[in-house]
Amino acid sequence: MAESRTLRVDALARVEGEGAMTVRVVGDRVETVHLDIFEPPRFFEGFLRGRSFLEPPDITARICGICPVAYQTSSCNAIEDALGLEVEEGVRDLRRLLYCGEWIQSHALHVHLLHAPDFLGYESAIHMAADHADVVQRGLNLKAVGNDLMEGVGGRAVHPVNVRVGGVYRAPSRADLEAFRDALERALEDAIATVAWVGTFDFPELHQEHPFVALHRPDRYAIEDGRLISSTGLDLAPHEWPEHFEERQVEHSTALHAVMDGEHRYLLGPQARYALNHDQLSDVAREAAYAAGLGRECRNPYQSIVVRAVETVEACHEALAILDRYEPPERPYREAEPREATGHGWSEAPRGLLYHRYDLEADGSIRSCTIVPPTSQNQASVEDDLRRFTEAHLHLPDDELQWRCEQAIRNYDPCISCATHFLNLTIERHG
Amino acid sequence: MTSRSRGACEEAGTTSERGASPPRVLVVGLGNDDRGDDGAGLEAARRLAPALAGRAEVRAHAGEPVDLIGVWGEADLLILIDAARTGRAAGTLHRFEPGPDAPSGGRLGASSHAFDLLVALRLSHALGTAPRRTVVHAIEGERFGFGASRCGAVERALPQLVERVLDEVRRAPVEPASG
Repeated sequence: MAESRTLRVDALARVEGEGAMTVRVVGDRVETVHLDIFEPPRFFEGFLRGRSFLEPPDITARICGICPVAYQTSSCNAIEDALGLEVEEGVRDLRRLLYCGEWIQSHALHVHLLHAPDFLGYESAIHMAADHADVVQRGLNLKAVGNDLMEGVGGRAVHPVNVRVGGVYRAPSRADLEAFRDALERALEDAIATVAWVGTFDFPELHQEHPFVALHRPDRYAIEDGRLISSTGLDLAPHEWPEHFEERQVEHSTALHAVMDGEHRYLLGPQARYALNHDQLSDVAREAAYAAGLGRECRNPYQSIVVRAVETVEACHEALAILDRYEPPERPYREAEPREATGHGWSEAPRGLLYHRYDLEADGSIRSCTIVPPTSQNQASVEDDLRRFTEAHLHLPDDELQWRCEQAIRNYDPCISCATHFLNLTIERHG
Repeated sequence: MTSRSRGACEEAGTTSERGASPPRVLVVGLGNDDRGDDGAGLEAARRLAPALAGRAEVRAHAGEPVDLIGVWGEADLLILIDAARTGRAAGTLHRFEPGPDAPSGGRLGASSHAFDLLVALRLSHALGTAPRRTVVHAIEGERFGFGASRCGAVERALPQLVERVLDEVRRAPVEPASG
């Protein structure tokens, strides 16, 4: 009878939210890998039915305290698509600036407080701070700049209140935004130093073959809008999403899995964006990436921490560029008459593409909607990484294998509450 | 006071005029006004601000722990006012002084959702940015629903909570920071 092993983690650490994982090993074969998302379903798509088309930006923002801007932006994009609303360039810049704040605070939190302890052998950021207070403080400083930017543009750092369908409620003046320049310039320097720091870590070997999927714009690193492109050749407008992507229920997760053109896994997030949009990166971000040892693409998920740090550089640089060019819009928002229509919208949340679809009644009430967060779409890729990493490292003792498996999950900066559809770790070795 | 985390942190009213290097006494009311008794800390801060003008800086904060580290940095005395739920009667007042190793319900290496106030204090101590002394005044609540009003017992206990914090500031054995 083949040897069996069981590894269990009942509450996965240093992730956003709560979930578990089970790995069952029989002999030298990994029989099953389940990323168990057990936070209860939150039914946002259900209770949006019948609500006004003006409400999704504020309601869906509550799905997440880390990436509310992603929900606000994707919902606005979708509803504005349904209503045929074009927002002014100044509004686009404000939404992109708000989104830069979200990327800076989310990436800084994950890189410094959640992920870096894995590479340096610490249980937590608190333990790491005893030996690396300067870098932990740098992470907190970066996060604070992101939060400040979100408050300045969005009204508050968590669940901003300034975003609305058709624009923003209040457009700040150039002087209002100029107040962030010094802090952003310091943040840019801190972000560059962070790339150099994480680039010195030792990375376990693992090569991913997942198709990359990300938004793309020819003129800039796509964040708040763009066309969906993939390493498999897709080039889609938002309304084409349903033709190529399908959500499926799996028994072990309250988050739906997603399938792309029959592919059972694909990868969203920093590595996909970095590879597909490399030419759109600013020189300063690209140079930091090369200096830290990255090439044009990165297929080792353990190096995602470097890519995340590079994207922090990009977000700081882009925020400064917006300060340079920003002209307040003539009107902060445009009104639109409700109409019976369907709209599709998306944007690049820190963890990857977030898709929204709204079916509106003639009076503007929501007949139905679909919200597909990045963590649920990445589940199959996480499970594949875990399966292949475990099979290649069965010689490791259970405690070390478990540590590396948890780290493999944190490579994705999973947002379980968004996915809810999510972590405890169980590894079973049988036989 | 750093400008960081202004999003969740507002001045609760009149703040102190600080001299060159006086001892910094910081009072932070924590909570959410839209969640019933959870807003008691914020209401206490609003009532304390005029009374403490010139003596302490009074702030209101939503309570996000990581952001609080940037708010309380370098205070000589930090007084946190928050709602609590321990199973005692609503309106019961609690006081404790958490040290660097105060036990926490949160877990050090846990999900960001388990990163609580005392874990934030431990991180702040590890970074060397913790206040010299921290005192927590808490008021037992019972009504925390969305859009709820504060319960009668909490309303009746608020004046005593405010008085306790005033007394804490009055007798604070704070000395100017050296160096």
